[in-house]
Amino acid sequence: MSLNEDKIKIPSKAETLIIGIGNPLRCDDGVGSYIADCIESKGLKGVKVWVVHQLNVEDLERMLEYNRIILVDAAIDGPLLDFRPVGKSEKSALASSHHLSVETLISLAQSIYHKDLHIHLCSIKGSSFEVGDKISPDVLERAQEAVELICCSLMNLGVRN
Amino acid sequence: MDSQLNKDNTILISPVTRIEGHAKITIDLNADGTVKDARFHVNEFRGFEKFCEGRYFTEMPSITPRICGICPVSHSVSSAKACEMIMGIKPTYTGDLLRRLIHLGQMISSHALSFFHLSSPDFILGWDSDPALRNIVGIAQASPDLALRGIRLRKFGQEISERITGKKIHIMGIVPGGMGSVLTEENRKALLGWITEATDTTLMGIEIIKKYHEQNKEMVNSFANFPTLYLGTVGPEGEMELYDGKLRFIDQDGKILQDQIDPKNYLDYIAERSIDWSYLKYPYYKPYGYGNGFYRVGPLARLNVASKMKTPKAQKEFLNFKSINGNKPVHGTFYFHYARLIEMLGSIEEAERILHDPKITSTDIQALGSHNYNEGIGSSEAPRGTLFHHYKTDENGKLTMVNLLIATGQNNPAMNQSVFEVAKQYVRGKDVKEGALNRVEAAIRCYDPCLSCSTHAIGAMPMIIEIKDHEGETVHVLKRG
Repeated sequence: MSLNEDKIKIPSKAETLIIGIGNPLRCDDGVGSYIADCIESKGLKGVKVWVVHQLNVEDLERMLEYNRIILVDAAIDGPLLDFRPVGKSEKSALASSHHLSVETLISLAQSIYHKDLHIHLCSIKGSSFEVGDKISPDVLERAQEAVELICCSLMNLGVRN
Repeated sequence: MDSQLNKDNTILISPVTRIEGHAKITIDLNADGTVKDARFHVNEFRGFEKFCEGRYFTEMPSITPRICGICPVSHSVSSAKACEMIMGIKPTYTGDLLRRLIHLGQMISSHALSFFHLSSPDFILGWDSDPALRNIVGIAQASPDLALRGIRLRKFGQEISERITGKKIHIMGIVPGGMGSVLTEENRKALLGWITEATDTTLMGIEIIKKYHEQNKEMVNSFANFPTLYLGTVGPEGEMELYDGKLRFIDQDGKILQDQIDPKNYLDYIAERSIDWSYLKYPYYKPYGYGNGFYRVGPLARLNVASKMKTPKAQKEFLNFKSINGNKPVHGTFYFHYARLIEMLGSIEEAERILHDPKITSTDIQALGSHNYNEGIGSSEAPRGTLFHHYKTDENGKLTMVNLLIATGQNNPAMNQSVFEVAKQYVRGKDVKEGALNRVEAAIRCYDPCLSCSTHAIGAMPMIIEIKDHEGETVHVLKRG
């Protein structure tokens, strides 16, 4: 017995979704939520903001309501600031619900919902992930750059205040 | 999963995959390649019991959901009950009902995750299939409808929390005396709209597991099948109870050892001992002593101790479960999956019953009280088993002692035994295949351990794990992952 497609019909809101990922109580891991809050405070039209500790597979349906998604997350390695589109992955090293990659989410969206997720990932390299609610000064600087970068990108797409 | 054969004939699997948290398994081989010993090591350390000391006791129902993202409701419920004992109050009818409903939602969400996301890939895709696809991604490719159903069933469970408290993970709103938020009529109707789909999906899961049992009888019956005692919560007539009830212990033959025990007296029956190679303690049934008193909790235990279920569809499956071993306890660890699905079915039925209760949308949700006593104990059945919160306060209500007895900790001895049993069955010598190691891991997955919340033996554990041979000599040292 297959699920009735009408039952899981996903409305298209034709909006942009910004998802700030991370734990604000683990110092620089909170930079994703910090950036998401900064963008939300600008009140951009058609831009919805979520803040989550982690990506969960059951969030897929709600993510599919948006035309474009920008994930903002702290990174342990890699460039100081990166902003790039993400593609799907055919295989996954999925170990638990605590570890779900963006590539895996895109693959699942195609396999299960037959829909494409258009995702950009903005990653900011952190330096301290200890317990605490303070983001490192250099990471805060990069966070401001990331806010500008994301806002410029949205304005190029026609998003206005 | 990475595995390696060390020079000392020790196989190391690290980290164990598809469980909540991180752990390590070691398998010690004899010179002839047979398994001498196998152990399940827990590497995480949290220390909630210590850093909660000094907090005001009423903060605990808000702090403790942070212990775990999978079973936050059970922590919050047990915590609120402990606080109510300190205050000398009872929750209002609707507050209690809402808590029960959220608790059922968590049971559905957690069990759906365990079965559809973490365990079903083994028996749907195959134990020896490509490990990179032996997960929800592989299920999505092989059976998109099943994957979708599994995801949506988990979503339903979380939506119960979200529609009442506004949050689906690390929920807030469960407070001493009841609830801090109500269920609106709109949200009640929306949740009722899920019931048919959730029931169908769970029945589909039951059919999958029963078919697998039928086709793999020998494997299922021999998979980590060993006798233990069992502990679970029951209602006044012995019916399986998840939210609130009394404790029942049974022995390996099904004889009731203790019944209708008030959870407040748990220390009369349960003792714990720290061990030198894991952050998890070894709890045991006190009257039988360490060594003879190991017991199991969780879905398998709850169905083993219960006399009946509360709802008709679950009762029908329960009778089938009981027939597996002629009404005696089912010891096969693989049957955790079947028991979990039966519980999920019962949870959906009970959730529907509660959603039809006319008082579920009442705004009389919280009884008020203040600090009246210096000790409180609360208990509930978390998805993984019986959970206890025990607090002591000073005269100002500040916590001076916090003891959290967690389900995964109580299953620790049995998880180790399970790893050993399965390793003996499937591991032969150094040329060990990935699929065999996956079966060893699967023994752990049956218990669906949530390690982050059960690791709290502060100050008692060494920071390095030592591997010892059969004579007790250290042959290898492992760094914690």
